[in-house]
Amino acid sequence: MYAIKAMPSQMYTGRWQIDTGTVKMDTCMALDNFGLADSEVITATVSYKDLSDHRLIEATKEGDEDAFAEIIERYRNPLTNYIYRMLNDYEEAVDLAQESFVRVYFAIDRYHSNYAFSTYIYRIATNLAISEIRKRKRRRLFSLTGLYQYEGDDEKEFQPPDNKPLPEDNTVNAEKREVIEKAILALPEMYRVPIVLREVQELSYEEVAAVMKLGLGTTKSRISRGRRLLRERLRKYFDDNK
Amino acid sequence: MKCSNYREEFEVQGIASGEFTSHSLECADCAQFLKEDSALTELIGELPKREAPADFGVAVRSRIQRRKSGPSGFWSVARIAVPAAAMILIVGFVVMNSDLFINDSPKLNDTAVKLDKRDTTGDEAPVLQEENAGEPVSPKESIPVAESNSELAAGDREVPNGPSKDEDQEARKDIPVKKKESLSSIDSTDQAFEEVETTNPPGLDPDKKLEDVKRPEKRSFTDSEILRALGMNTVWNGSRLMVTSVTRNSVAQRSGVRTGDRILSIDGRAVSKDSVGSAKAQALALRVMRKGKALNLSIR
Repeated sequence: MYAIKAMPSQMYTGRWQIDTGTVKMDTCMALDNFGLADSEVITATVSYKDLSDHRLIEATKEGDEDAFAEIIERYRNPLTNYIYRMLNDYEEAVDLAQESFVRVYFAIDRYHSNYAFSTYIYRIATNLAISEIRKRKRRRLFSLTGLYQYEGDDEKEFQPPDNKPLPEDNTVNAEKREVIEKAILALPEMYRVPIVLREVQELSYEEVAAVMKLGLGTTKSRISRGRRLLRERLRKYFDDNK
Repeated sequence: MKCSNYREEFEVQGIASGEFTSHSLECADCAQFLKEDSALTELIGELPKREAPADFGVAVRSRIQRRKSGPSGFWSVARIAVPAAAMILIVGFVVMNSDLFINDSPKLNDTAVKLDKRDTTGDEAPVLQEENAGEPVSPKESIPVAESNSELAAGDREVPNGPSKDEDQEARKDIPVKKKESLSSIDSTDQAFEEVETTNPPGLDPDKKLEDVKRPEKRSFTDSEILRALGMNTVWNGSRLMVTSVTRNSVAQRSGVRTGDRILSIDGRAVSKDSVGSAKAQALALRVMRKGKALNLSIR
């Protein structure tokens, strides 16, 4: 939080006088919303939460660590949940989500504001998750468990047990959760990524297409195909719960 | 419109059109399809959201700091230490075995063979001019120098019924002895040097002429040092080298050297302040002046 006292005419010079020193341009630009008159001395309070992703990124580029902390705060939960749904491994999901932020930080100069930051970070997380899935597939090929796979199980990944209890867990919910989680995890990655982004993370078709670098039509097609696969896998469950 | 068309349209749009809803009232399969799809949406929607741990931000910052400061701990040390240790080992190995690498050259043996052949044929060979010897060396006593392998071949042609391989091997065995014999008459002060020269000193390149080879530094002694080793202390009195004391039971005392003797020559060489000679554990002939008389003493 900054308590800002500044002349509006200085707004576009990038340096504002504040009570604790100087504040960076990107932070001050948020004051555009205050509708200040010329030569008016203002006192305003600006929070990082009021800044857009792009402004926070620009501030981070200039070395503002607090701006990057706000980025982390905004995306840590969605990203952790997304990777968790891709891998069904909470520890690995947290690790890869952290790695995503680290990569964003070190490649921040290469980020362009032509597309949404959410798309950018989801793409990084997707690449990391797919990488991990393929690594596990290779590991499974060389493991003894691979010898006892039955036909039709090829698409399933080796999943370590996730024993972390959830607060609202009960028998019914746990059963439902297990059924749908297994069904999602059984999807090939080309369908799993758009399904999780669209159905779990609730991104728009356009955002999913941007993350996957695919056309909108292809993205919709993959999502519908993924849903069809899920319905087929869950048919027995639906029949049992009529 | 067919059921499959309705369903495809529904899957692409994500929303059931009015037509499809009406159709589903009459078509049990399509009704079942919509019901399952709705149940699927509900199931996915009920999936709990997993949240990041509370220390997530701290962990990210910590990772960033670690990457900024580069690899740390064991690997950072190992990344530098391992190549350095490997380099030291390689350099050490090469230095310690440099003699082995150089003396393994087969060309040196070829030179030796040629030496032997020149001796047997009596061919005139390049003569080793000893800079320190002071006297010219006769061709028979000289050390032939291998110019090249082609010269060696020429030598072979000059020998009637040239040596077979077996004879060649035997000739090689005899080389060191022959070399030493041929050098026996060279000036005694350079004998030690010559012996070192003929036993393939480290670093000798067989392709080089012996004249070009840098000779090892000789171990030289002044006349006073030589005499002191024999058991007599001397002092220069002008141009005279006088014996000031003789060590009891020393070689010098047993040979008859006495205090007050003036040393005139060692092995026929007049002593001087500037002269230096090589030491050898052999007999020395001393000429001394005692009470106006010159005496020859043999020190053994």
